[in-house]
Amino acid sequence: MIELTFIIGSLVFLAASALTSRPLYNYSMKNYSKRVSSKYGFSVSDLHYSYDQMIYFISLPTTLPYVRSATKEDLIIEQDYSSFFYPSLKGIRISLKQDGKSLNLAYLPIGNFRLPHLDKLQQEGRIDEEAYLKISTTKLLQAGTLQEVREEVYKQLQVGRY
Amino acid sequence: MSKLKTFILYIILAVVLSQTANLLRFRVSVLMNKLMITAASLILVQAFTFIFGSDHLKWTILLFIGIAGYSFNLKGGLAAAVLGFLIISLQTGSVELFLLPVYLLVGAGAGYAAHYLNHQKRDLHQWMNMLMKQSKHLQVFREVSTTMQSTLQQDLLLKVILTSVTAGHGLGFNRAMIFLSSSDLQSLKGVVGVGPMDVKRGYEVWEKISEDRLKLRDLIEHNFDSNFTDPELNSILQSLDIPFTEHNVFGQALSSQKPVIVNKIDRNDDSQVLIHELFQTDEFAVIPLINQGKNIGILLIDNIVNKRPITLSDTENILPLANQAAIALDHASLYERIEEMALRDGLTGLLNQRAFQNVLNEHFPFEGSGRGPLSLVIFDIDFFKVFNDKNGHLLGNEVLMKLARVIEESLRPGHFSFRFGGEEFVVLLPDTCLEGAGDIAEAIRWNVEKASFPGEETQPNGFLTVSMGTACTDHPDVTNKNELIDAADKALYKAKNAGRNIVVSYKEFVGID
Repeated sequence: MIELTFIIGSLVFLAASALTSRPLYNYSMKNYSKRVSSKYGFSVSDLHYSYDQMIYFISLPTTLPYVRSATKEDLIIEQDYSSFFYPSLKGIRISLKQDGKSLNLAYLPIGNFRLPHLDKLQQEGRIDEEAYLKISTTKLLQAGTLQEVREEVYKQLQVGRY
Repeated sequence: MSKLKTFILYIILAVVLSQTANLLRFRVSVLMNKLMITAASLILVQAFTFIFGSDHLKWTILLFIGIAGYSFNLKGGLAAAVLGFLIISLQTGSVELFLLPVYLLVGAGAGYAAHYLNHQKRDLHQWMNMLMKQSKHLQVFREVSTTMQSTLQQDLLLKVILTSVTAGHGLGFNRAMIFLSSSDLQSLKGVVGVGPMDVKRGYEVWEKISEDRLKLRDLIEHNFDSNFTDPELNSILQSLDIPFTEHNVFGQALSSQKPVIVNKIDRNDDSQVLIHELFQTDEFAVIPLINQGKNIGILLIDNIVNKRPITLSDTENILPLANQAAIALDHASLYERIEEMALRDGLTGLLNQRAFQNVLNEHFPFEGSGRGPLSLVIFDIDFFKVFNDKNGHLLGNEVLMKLARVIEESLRPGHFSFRFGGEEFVVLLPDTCLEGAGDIAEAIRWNVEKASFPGEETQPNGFLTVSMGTACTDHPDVTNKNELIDAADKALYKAKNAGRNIVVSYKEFVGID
């Protein structure tokens, strides 16, 4: 029983660490961003951003009938983290799930998610790359940003760029 | 305390420890983060020892060694093994040496496994990045090719090329400029550029694009809008005419047919100094635009805002796009020339019948169009058949060429002159009333009379003359294009009958009759 207690306790420790690491990582990024943004007098919610560097894996606009017929709600946005124990956001993946099948449509690496105001602060030497990454992670994970990314991908699939 | 209570207490402790570590470790550096979770595992082991005694420490310490190995790879695993052995020795008061190699083995195993997994993960990440980069370039190339194939308008092509090179979805350079070869291929003329003149302006434009949520279509439309492109940049660029020689970087790129990266300004090369001084750039790349050995122009790129160095890999990626652009620009230029040839008379260089129909359709005022009156002047050379019979057709052709020059010199911008056929000419005068058309026709007639033409002494009057008829859409009889031509033709006929070398207007002609 003693051995079992330790084994179960260890498993609980590992599982709890792994399961809560991502939400707590996000929470921590949010807190950090709040601190830095108030120091430099801006709000993360008001930051303008560009998802122009999103990488698409299919032609735009698409001619694939099952992609064209997809609705906005069929598009799934997933956050892509580096690991369970030491998570860092690598980017967001947009895929289409229809009839149980999944098709990768686009990927936005966090390094390609650029925010002009942060670019300016970085160029002025007020924030470093790490701070940039933390704030851009916070911005990318906001519900409004993710919704806009979904709408953007949908539009690109239907209309294309040019 | 009952066993169950102890069990529950220990589970709660495990949860509390993991959550406390998780709450704190993302606020610190990566190294501290790893140290904290490793330390938390050691605390869990120690708590177990505290509750259940040190009898189990020999094997429970493996949790700490394993997590240290996972977190810090081989070195961390080995260090944790030694530390674990010391802790056991201190806490149990006995040194059991056989444990050390076991711990070292576990630490090394965990460390190596973690190292291997991280290595695999890193490799996969690198592959992913590479594939995504290639996918992006392929996508840019595919989209730009499709767009280029859909147009022969040079202006649109230039916008597409510049946008694909500078936009975030594209190759993401801060600034791009296009120089096209002059018609004699002796120099390169600055045509159009996209990007800021300085860093501050660059960030302003960048912020504006993001703020307005501008899409690429908008960007293409606004590329030359002063809100997005520094007008100063284009003004300076368009004033540039760089000679094509082997001694400057432009010539080198074109003759070697390879991109040239300039990362240090060579003071011996005037073109590099010029670009550096005019555009405040210390590093740029010159990409040749070549189609089937023909020098089409140069694409110049730089990163004035973020100062990102331009690499060989960058220029390699841009080459397929540049080659495609060169083909499209060459085709557009050839098309423009062929179109121009199709609309011009080969002998006189004036516009031809086909062009006349286009211009007439474009400027004829119809109800509600809001256009002003359109006047038409039609004229021919008096006794030209006699001239040809006496002097031959070759001299006749020379006269026609000279006459075309006299006509063009007599007109103002916005007027159109056409060779209508044989020795017959037409002038279309948008926004001109009949009186104004009469004045212009009289000016042409007078200029022809006083100009000197080869062989004109054989003409009945001893000099070359023209008879002219004018008509205007403001006359009530003129309701369509055919009636306008017909009215001017009738006036010309009247001028011929009235003794030639005069201008007769349709209004006057009606009055006479």
